[in-house]
Amino acid sequence: MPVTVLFGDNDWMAHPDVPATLSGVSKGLGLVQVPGAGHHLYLDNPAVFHQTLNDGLAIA
Amino acid sequence: MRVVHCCRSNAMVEWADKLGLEQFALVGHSLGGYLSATFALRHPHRVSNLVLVSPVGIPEPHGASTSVPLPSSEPTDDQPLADAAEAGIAGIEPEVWRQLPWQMRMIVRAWGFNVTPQSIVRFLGSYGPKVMTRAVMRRFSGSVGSDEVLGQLVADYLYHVTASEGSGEFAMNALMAPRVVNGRPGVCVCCVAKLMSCRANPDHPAQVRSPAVWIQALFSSDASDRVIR
Repeated sequence: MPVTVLFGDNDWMAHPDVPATLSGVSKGLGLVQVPGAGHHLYLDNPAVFHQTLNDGLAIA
Repeated sequence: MRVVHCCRSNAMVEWADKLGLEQFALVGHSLGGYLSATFALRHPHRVSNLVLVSPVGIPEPHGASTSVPLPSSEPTDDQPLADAAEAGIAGIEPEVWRQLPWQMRMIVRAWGFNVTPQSIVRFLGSYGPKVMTRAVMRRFSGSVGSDEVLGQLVADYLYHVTASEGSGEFAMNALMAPRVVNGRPGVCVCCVAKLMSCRANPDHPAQVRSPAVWIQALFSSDASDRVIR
């Protein structure tokens, strides 16, 4: 199961240690930081959000 | 525990069955990210792709919070608030706590009593929509807030989903803990899973069985071998 995790670069939900926590966990896991976005990524940066979402859904 | 009931519900399985969805992509935002991850762990064969958007429940790295006292979801007599203040509220170090602005302390205290943002909006009554509109226009001034009609639509939507009768919001307190994060101007209170402190505390075996451990299992390498093909 491909797993994609998105956080905004100014996201109150993203603990600074999230990359460390998720790094090397699995090669099937992608962590993406969306620029210019907070917790509501889809409103803050719809372009990058939709692209990342589509990419995450397209992985077979 | 409320969370157990909330996450063990088979409502999503029944919903997918009714729609005839054997396997589907699952996208979850915020608390929905936590619920989606727990669903994917319980029913991996039903989920083709999992996308977690700013999800709740990613724990701190191993060892980061082992010294943090486990916050009690139900305040008890032997753990009065005054003692908690001495020991550090909700895992916040006493010296950091003292430096917090009073507004931030109020938020952390309210969080401890399971006061949700949604319940505050409900409390505002007829002022709620106006406050929500102002908040949305300011928070999203760079996107939907710059368009008055679109901004109002988003504000109306958010007001109505926020002010309606609560359910999952009351699980937030059991899943998240306030945390002070330095490193940018001011101080912010950040939410992370209580998970690591739960796992690190052998005195609370009930908490270890909480579904909160599922997301840890999802992101731990041995379990991801099982789940992520």
